[in-house]
Amino acid sequence: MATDKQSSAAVTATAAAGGGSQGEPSRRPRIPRIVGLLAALAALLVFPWMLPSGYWVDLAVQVLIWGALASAWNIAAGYAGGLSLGHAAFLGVGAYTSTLLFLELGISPWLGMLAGAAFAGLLGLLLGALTFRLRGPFFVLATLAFGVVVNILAVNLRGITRGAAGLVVPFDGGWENMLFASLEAYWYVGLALVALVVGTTLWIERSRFGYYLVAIREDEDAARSIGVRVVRWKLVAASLSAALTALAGTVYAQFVQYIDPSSTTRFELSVQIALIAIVGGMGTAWGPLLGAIIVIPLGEILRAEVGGGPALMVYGFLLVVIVLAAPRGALPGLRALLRWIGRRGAGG
Amino acid sequence: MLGLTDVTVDFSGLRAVDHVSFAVEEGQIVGLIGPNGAGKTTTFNVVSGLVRPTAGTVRFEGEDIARLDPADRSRRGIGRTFQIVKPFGNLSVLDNVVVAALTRGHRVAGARDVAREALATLGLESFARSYARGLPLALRKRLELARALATDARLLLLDEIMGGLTPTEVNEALDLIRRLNHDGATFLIIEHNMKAIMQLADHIVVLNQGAKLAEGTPEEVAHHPGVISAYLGQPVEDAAGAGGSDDPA
Repeated sequence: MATDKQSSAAVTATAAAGGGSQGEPSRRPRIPRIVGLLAALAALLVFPWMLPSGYWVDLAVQVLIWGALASAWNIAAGYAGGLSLGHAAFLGVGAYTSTLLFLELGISPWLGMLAGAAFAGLLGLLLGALTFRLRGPFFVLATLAFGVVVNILAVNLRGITRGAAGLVVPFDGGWENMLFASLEAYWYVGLALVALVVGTTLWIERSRFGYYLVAIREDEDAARSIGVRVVRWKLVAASLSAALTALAGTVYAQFVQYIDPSSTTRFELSVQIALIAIVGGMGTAWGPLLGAIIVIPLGEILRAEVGGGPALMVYGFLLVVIVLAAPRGALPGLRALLRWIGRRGAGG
Repeated sequence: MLGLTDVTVDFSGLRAVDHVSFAVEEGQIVGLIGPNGAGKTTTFNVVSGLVRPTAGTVRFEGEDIARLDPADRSRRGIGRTFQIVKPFGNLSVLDNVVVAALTRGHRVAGARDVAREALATLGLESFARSYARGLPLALRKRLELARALATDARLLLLDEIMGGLTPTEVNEALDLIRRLNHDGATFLIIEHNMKAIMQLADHIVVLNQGAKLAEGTPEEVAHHPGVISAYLGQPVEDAAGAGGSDDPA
C-alpha cells in the first residue's frame, strides 16, 4: 500500500510537470487540508474588500475573466494540443448571444450565457470538424482565419450586431440581470466562473478523457493505434473549450456593459488568451490562472506608469524574459524551483 | 487470423506496395523482411490502419477491416510498435500504458493495475515514474510493446524492435516474444536482424520494391536465389538451420 501511494503521488508530480495530470492527490493531512481550503475560500471572499480602491477591484475582476478565458483555451490547446489563435471568436459569440437575447427579448444573461455557450460549442464542433486533419502551423492558421471571419461578420452583419457601433447593455441592476452597481459583486461572479473552468480542467485531468487528450497531444498516430478515437475526443475538447470561452464572454459583456466587434473578437484578443496560458503553463490546470495573475496586472501597471508605446515595448520585453526564463510556463517553472529549494534544504 | 489479398498502395504516383498477398495464422510468428524501401512499414500501416490501401482487401478474423479506423482495429485486437518510436514523451512510463488500458473500458484505477502488470511483464516496473522521453531507445521500444500488451492485442505487429539493441538485449527480446507467443499472442515482425528473425519466425514473407518476392520457412527463404540476390547477398546458413529446427508451437 505504501509503495502504491508513493508511486501514484510521483506520477502526479511528473505528469503535472509535463502537462499530464493524473493520479490522486495525497490524502495524508486530511484535517489541515480542509482548514486550509476554508481559509483560502474566506480569503478569496473578503479579498475585494481589502483592496485600496475600485481601480484594483476592477483589475482583479479582469484577472479572473482573463484567467477563465485562458483556462478554457487551455483545454483544447494545452491538453489536446490544438493551438488555437481564433478563440476570441467564441468570446464574441458568448458576449453577443447573451447581450442580444437580453436586449431584444429580455432574456436574463444567466440563461443567455447558456445559449451563448451552446452556440459556441456548436461552432467549436464545426471548426474542429473542418480542422482536425490539419497539423502544426496549418491548424493554427485555420483557427486564425476562423477568428478573422467571425470578426468580419461581427462588423458587417449590422442588422444583427449593429456593426462597429456596438451594443450598450442598459443598466438594470440586480442579480437576475447579472448587472451590479458594486464592483465587488463581479469579483464573486468571476470567482464562480474561474471555479467552473478550472474545476472542469481538474476533473479532465483525472478522467479517461484527460488521458486521451494528452495522448493525442503527444502523438496522434500512437494514440490511434492503441484504440483512442482521436477525432471524437478532439471535437469534444474543441467544443467544450469554445463553450466555456463563451461563458466568460457573457461575464465580460455584463462587466463592461458595452461590447463591439473590436473589444470582443479582435485578433489581438485571441493572441492575448493564448499568451496568458503560455506564460502561466499550458497543459496544467492552474497555469493559465497564474498567467492571468502575472500578465494582466503587468500590462495595466505599465500602461499606468509608463504609458503608450513605451509601455507596450516594456510589456513585450518582459513577456519574452518570462517565456525564456520558464519555457514551459510559470507554474511548472515555479514547481521546479520549489523542488530545487526543497532538495537543497534536505541536502543540508 | 490475418489475410492480405492483392494489397496495393500508391503514394501520388509512386507504388509503395504492389499486389501483395499473404496470411498470418493464429499462433504463428511471421517475419516480414526485405531491403529498405521494400514496402514493409507501409504494409504494416495498411494492417494497423494508418494507411488505406489503394486496392485489395485486409481481413482480420474473417472481417474486412481495410476501411476501419486504426482505433477500431486496435479494439479488435491488433497492436503495433513503430519503427521510429512514438512514446507519449511528456507522460510517465506508467501513464503511457494507462492510456492503452483505458481504451479497453477500464476505469482509471483499474487501468493503472493493468498497466503495472504490462510493465512488469516487460521488466519496466522500475521506470514507471520516469518520463517516457527520458528512456533509452531499447526501453522506449519495450514501452511501445507494453502499451500494445495493455490493449490485450492478439495480433502484435513489431516494426524493427531489435534495431539498435545490443546482442544481450536482442536475446532478451527473442525470449520475450517466444514467451508471449507461448501465451497465445500472434506476431507479424519486420526485422533487419536476419539471425534473430530466422531463429524466431515460423514463416517469412520477403518484399522487394513493393512486391512479394518469396515466402516460406526461414530455410526456404534463406536459400531462395531471388532473395539472396536482392537482399541477403549470401545464404544465412546457421540462422536458417536454427530457425528450421525450432518449433515454437
